[in-house]
Amino acid sequence: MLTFLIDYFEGTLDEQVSRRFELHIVDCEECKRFVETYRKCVEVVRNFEVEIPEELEERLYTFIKNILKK
Amino acid sequence: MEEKELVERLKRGEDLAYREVIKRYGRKMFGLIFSMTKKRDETEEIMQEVFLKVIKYIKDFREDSLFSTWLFRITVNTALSYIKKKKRKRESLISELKKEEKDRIDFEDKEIKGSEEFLESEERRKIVQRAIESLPQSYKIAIILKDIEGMPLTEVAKVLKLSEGGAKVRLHRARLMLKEKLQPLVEKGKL
Repeated sequence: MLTFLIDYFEGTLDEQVSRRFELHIVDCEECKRFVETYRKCVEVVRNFEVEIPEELEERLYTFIKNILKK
Repeated sequence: MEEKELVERLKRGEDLAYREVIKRYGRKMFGLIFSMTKKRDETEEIMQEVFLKVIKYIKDFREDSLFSTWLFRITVNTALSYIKKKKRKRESLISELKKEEKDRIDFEDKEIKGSEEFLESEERRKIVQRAIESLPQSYKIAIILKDIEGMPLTEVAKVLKLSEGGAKVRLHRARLMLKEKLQPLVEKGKL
């Protein structure tokens, strides 16, 4: 049961079960609200962009080159 | 460059192959470690440590998993062990628990109760970042690898040393916890 929503959003849930669930949430306000917020939260996180410090890549590359030279 | 070729070149110690690794995975590694340490300088230090391990152990990489999975497993283990060492040195378990509780309350106070106005995109980004950072480490790792970095669940499971079912449960719990934190803003259409 715990992994039900993961499978549903991954599209790996059995097709019939998935359809039954979708029919259920049309009529069930509580489940509908839950699924919509869950989906939106996943979307918000998916769109999250990590900021990395300037020149980090260069500094790391220099660090590695120095190690490899030793 | 195919992964197999990349690995062969890493095994030969070609610095340009390492540059390619930084280009492909550097940002993801940074995001993952930063969410765990919350400090840029420590994140960079851990990244250096990860690359030291890659240089040392790449010859033993057997290619029975993806290189990225192997790399992220090293990243997670290195970050966790760094944090553990740091905690042992500086904080007792009790004060850490108190801090987590304080962080949770601070998060709710700052982000949820006080956010009636329209949120700018940078502000939104920070809210999501803080929400992710406030999750327990293992939940955070699952969310970042799967939802932010788009790693397949099978690979996330390998990084976390869990079964695929176990990884699903971890991810689901992490999403529920995050949902709990972001729900008020999501429902008001602010995120």
